[in-house]
Amino acid sequence: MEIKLKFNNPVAISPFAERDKMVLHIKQVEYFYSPEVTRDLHRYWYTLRTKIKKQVPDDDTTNSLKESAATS
Amino acid sequence: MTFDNKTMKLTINYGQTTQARTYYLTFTLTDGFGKSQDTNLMVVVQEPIKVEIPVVEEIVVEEEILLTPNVSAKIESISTVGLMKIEFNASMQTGFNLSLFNSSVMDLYIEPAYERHEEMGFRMETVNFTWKVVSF
Repeated sequence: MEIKLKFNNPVAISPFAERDKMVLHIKQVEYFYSPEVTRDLHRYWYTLRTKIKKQVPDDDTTNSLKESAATS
Repeated sequence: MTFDNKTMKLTINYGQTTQARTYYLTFTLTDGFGKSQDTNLMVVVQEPIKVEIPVVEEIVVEEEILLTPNVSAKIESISTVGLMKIEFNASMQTGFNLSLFNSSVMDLYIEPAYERHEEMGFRMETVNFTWKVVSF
């Protein structure tokens, strides 16, 4: 599963040495069913957390910088 | 223990819950001149009552997680431009209309480091964001 996050102010995320944490909490587990295991996501994993790296705006400037970095 | 000329009552008391059994014994005492006398002896033996105490077997139930296969998930990565990937340990049911994945299905939020969100002047909206499931 891929989720696109759009931050109001990307540079405000993890501005210091210690990173902020992203939390994802699943409320309707019926959307997370595995036919292979024939059960829903186990309750232990209803809440996921991870540290999030510094963010940059997802805009043309960032994309052009990425392209120049890739070609240089 | 009580005793008189003809009857001796012997009670063995175990001091606990007991039940009694009574035995009657008759002794014939004869002296060297052929004179005899019967003596009755009653013995009351009290025995502890065997109380059956149910034994509750201790059953150790291991964590369900260890006994059965479960579906687990983790946040695999978040790119610098906010693309978050969630991985599952098994193939998942897909084919949903992705617009169904909204805040009623799951919540996403930032926990600021150093608990700086509790500091004076911190504005939570600076770490707010919108999100959209783009593949599943």
